Amino acid sequence: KQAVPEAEPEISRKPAVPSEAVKFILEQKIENLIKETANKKKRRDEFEASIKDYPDNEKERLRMLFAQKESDFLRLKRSKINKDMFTKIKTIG
Amino acid sequence: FKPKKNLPDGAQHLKDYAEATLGSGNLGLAVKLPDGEDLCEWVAVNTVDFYNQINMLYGTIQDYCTEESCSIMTAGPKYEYHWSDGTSKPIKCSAPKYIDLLMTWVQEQLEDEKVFPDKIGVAFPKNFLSICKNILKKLFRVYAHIYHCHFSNVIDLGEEPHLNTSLKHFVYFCNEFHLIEEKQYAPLRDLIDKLINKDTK
Ligand SMILES: [Zn+2]
Repeated sequence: KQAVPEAEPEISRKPAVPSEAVKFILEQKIENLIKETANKKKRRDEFEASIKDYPDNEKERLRMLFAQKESDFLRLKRSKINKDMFTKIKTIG
Repeated sequence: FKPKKNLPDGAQHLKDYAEATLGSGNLGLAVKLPDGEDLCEWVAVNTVDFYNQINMLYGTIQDYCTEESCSIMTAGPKYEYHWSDGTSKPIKCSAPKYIDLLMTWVQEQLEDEKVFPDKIGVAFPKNFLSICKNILKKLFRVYAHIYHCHFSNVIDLGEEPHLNTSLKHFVYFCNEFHLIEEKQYAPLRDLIDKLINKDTK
């Protein structure tokens, strides 16, 4: 096998991106954003309903647990989009 | 083949295109801090998201943004940006170079675990919000450049509702948490006012 000098990787972060794909992704994104806002509220309301018979101090503790779970969910989501994005850029770029 | 529409330069015409947006959902509500949510976590996930949106949108018109077409990083005739990462002396460069430096600078911070921790249980740095303010302030300039110098490309690609919606989401978010000073919006002032007013009417 003949040795081919490896091309220097381009300095650019990414190649030109197909417009149709970007439009599709952004349309989905906005739809999901609106859905997720409604879902979050629903989760919160259901959670509140589920603890309504608990004593106040217990309610506070459970609310903190619930908030922690929601925060962890956001962090995982961020770490996932971060990873997806950078692997994609690296593979193509 | 679609002939290039001849658009006058300047911000005036931009606001005439503010009508085109995606969806009818309430973005003002969607950006609010969810009940009990950690502010840093919320700002973090959204900052990554805006970086991503701007990266994609700029990517679609990148071929038109060249050393020749955009030899200076501008947002209309009145605004010119010189690149500095905050420590270096500002340098005057072309828009593609400026945006490449900017996006690389943002990406490095998003990948830095000490700034954007991605393991559960690791705390954000004390100055996290001011780091994000700085990132968002600079990301806004990419929108400003696209609108002022590449809006005809955006129209040719049929992307104006996407760009408008992305900017609107960005402004709603930044305003909700006071992440950008109003004066930074100057290059797109009229357009932004129109995008936001459309909702409050
Ligand atoms: Zn340009």
